[in-house]
Amino acid sequence: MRNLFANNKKIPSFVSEMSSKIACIFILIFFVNLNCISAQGHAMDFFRSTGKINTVLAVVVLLFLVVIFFLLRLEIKLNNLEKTINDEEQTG
Amino acid sequence: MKQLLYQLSWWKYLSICIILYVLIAGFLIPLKPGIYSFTPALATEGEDVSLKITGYNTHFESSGETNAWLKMPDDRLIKADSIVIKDEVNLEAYFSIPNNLPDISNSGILATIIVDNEKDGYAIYPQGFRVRKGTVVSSENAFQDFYELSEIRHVDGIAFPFRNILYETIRNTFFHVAIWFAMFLLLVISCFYSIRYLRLGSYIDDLKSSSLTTVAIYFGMAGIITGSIWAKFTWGTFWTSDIKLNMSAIALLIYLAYLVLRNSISDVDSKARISAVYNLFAFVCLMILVMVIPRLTDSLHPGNGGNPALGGEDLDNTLRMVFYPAIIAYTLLGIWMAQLFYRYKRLKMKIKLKE
Amino acid sequence: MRKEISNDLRGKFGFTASLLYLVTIVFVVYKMIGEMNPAVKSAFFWVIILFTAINFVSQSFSTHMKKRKIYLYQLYDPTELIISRLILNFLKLMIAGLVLVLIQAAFTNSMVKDPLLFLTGFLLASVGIVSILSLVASISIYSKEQTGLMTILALPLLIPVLLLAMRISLVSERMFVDSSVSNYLMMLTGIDLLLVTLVIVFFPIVWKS
Repeated sequence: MRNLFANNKKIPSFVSEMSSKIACIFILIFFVNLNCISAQGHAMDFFRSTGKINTVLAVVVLLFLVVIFFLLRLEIKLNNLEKTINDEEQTG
Repeated sequence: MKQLLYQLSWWKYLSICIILYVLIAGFLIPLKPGIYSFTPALATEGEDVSLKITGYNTHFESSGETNAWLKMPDDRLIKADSIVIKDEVNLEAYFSIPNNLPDISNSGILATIIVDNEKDGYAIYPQGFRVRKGTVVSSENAFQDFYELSEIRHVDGIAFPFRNILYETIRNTFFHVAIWFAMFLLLVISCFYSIRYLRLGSYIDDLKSSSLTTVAIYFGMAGIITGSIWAKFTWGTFWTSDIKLNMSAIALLIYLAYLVLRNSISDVDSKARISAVYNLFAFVCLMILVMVIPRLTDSLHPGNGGNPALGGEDLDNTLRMVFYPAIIAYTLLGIWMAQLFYRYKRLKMKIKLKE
Repeated sequence: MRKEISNDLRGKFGFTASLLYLVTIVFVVYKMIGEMNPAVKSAFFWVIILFTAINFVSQSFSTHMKKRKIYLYQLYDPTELIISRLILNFLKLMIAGLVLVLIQAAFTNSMVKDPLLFLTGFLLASVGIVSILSLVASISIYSKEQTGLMTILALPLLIPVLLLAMRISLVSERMFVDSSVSNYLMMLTGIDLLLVTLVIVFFPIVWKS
């Protein structure tokens, strides 16, 4: 994380900041949703309906989100790397 | 597109295929029929009781003759006198429970409810129905007309086992449990590269090892989050003080410390060497943790308190058919992710060296 | 080895400081809590032992060691160095443990119910603690934030040893009867052997630079 933001400071990049924010927001929304709805009875019922199949669904979605999060971070890092290469080519 | 097809190596396709297989098989294979609930929860010796049973995935109406049984702890069965079928999943069974049940203590015994028919085979609710000791002591209606276990019909077929409380979430075995196993496999590979770095001293091995560990940490995070969601809907809380949960948290702490260590050393050479040593040492300590802790305490997880983790009741053959491929698939996916990360790191290092 | 000891005796101020640290903490905690049951008492014992150990082990691999590193590197074989360090730190931990037990006995007016078991448990556990801490301390020399890193790295690694030790000391306090105590002792011995060999193998790799 530290690495990532240090690079951002050097090269202000609109795209990378956006995507990191989006990733965080995705995961936050998921958790806030889960917390809010699990506080209410009917959402508990949602996760417990038809033999709790929706819990399995939530687990799969989360795994998917973790992989996506990894990809997003890699994307940001690669963007930064590309920028440094491009800058060097321009200056040198 | 043609270029993409050419570039990907075979094991990446393999991982995609197996993941698809795991998703499809893991979601589409049905659960075995089981008993969801029943009322009343207890009866007394010598009583006539009508049990309302709700099944899950059962076909009471459309299959032939349906029987209901009460299994005593000594494996002998009491058959229901008559059965009224309401629909596919609901029926009412009338039992007349005999007096003088064998081995009955003052708190009563826990009987297993079994329903069987030709289409579903049997559905059971293990040890849920309590039979209390009766007040009348008579030798007349003694426990005589019992049936043997061989009376119960069973049907072979591809289906996941039905467990009460778990229900469909038994499918999480392929997602939550498999991701833990994949994490451990990734850590093993990472250790292999650490050893190779220490012996041969090439930076490439160090980069490979560290990116594998990073991906393993991602998987560990995924394992903890998915585990806590699963726990919420089976055990009722996001976080129990269950020892396996805490153990996984400790494992994550160990490897997060690894990342901190790598970030805090500036010299490239000593960074690689030190982190390789720490990686190996941490892995050994983790193994000690995994071996030792389950012996100290009981756990909600399988593998403790007498029931084996792999094998026996908890992982039957149908589960294995999906579970082992799932581990392989996630490991391959992890290696793929690690490879991407490693390639990024190598590029970055090359650029740094140029400067 | 002998030189190591004499070197260490010259720098014994550090160890006395850690002992003082230990005494102070015990005093403060007992003033704050007052009465405590055996479970809390032994948990407290292990936590204090742990932090004291972190304190003086990190001192023994500290910056002043770093300055003399080239000198030490020329003078000793790294294996010899780590073995003597392990033995020294082990002895120090023994002394610290003894002091702590005596103070606790003085404060609570009761000794451990099964001293022999407690002592074996403590001996075995402290071998494990010292070996893990030594390796981690020698690793964290390389980092900028030495002490902070040391705690982060060492604590999770120490947990299995600590849990076993805690269980043994609870049994020795007669909190409950556990038939598998000898099993725990065997496990702890195995872990110790493994850890000590690992440290002896890894230390030369960490040391050279």
